[in-house]
This record gives sequence, structure tokens and C-alpha cells, in this order.
Amino acid sequence: MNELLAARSLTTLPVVTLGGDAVAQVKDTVFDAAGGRITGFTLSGRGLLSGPLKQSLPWSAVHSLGPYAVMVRDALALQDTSAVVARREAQQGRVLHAKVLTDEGAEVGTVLDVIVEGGTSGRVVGFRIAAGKALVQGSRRRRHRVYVPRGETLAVSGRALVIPADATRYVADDLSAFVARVGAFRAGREESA
Amino acid sequence: MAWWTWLVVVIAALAAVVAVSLAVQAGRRSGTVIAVRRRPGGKDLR
Repeated sequence: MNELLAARSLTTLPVVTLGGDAVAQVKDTVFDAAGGRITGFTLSGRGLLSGPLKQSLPWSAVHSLGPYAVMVRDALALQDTSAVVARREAQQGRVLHAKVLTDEGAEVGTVLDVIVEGGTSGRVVGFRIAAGKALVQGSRRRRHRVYVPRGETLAVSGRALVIPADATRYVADDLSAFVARVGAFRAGREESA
Repeated sequence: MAWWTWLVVVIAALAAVVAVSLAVQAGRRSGTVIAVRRRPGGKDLR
């Protein structure tokens, strides 16, 4: 598995061509909720006073996603913003701070971050959530932030992340345990396929 | 008021304008994570 990255940490990453030129920086990370993959990035300029760009970066034009930069072949990779996300979608699809609901209708927390796989994958592998006591037992400090593998979630949108009511079985407290859970989940799926 | 008092007032006002401008610009550049729904053909659901 490639390195896991928090989607929030991708904001302000430079977009760098293979020729070494930084042509923009990441503003928003856009992903396909059903397919579980990054579809692209909206961009802002590199200068201190530069604002959002009218260009975006579709995932198909990304050479590789790393912890320090998004690599593209050349500046021609940038396209019109609507190629990645429409204005209305951008307003309605904001996942951060969306409610986390169980399939029984209980509210158990809020979404803090989206965990994605770097490299050429761009897969959304899970979510970091601020969990309430109903979801995770234990001390307040430990139960506050947990990871949920995407394969265990039922739906995600700008309004809510829906997880099974028995989610306490598979939430992970830290990223290393989360990686093991994701690996086990994938192995289980491959065995059943 | 003495002339230097006006100078201080002008400098303070300019500093405030610059600070507000930088804050607004930082807000415009701040990002988030957006979930969209795509049809298999690649078109988004509206």
C-alpha cells in the first residue's frame, strides 16, 4: 500500500511539473463518494496575494501524489475548474464537519478528515472522525478521534457519513492500527471474491 | 494634534488594511474536502 495522507494536509501542497516548475498549489481535494477515488483538485496561485485559480487539476492528469507535492507531467495538465467540480457541488459536498450517522439514525460524531492513498492510486481508504461516547467506549481523550475504513461505511455526502450501527467493532484509534484494519478488510474481500 | 500623531494614525490604518487583506486572501485560499457523485460515464449527478 502506498503512503496514506490526510486530505486536509494536501491543501497548499505545490503542484509541480516533471520539469521542476511549481505552477499552482492545491486548494480543495475532490473525491467521488461512490467510487472512493480522488477525482481532482481545485487550485490557488502560489503567490502570497494570489487567490483561487479558474483552473483545476483532474486526477487523470496527476503523475503522482506525494506528501510534499502533487506531480504533473507539464502545465498543460491544468484544466477548467468545471472539469473537476461544479460550483454548486463545491458548496454542497463539503465533507469536513459533516455528521456521522449510524444506519439506525443515531448521530455519533463528525468527520474530521478523509484518508487517501498517495502515489498513483488516489484511493479514499477511510475517514478520521470525532467520535462520541456512543461510538467508542473509553476515556474521553482516546475516544475523541478514531479512523473508520471506507469499505465499512455505507454512504458519504456533504451532509452525512453513514456507518453501520455496530461500527465499534472496526474503528481504529491510530493510523498504524487503521492500516492493519484496511489491509485485513481488503484481504477479506479478495478471499470472498 | 502633533504631526507625528497623524503619522502614527495613518501607519496604523495602513497596517490594519494590509492585515485584513491578507486574512481575506488566506480565507479564499484555504481548502476543504468535497465529495461528488459521478455517473459511470463520468458525468456528475446534478
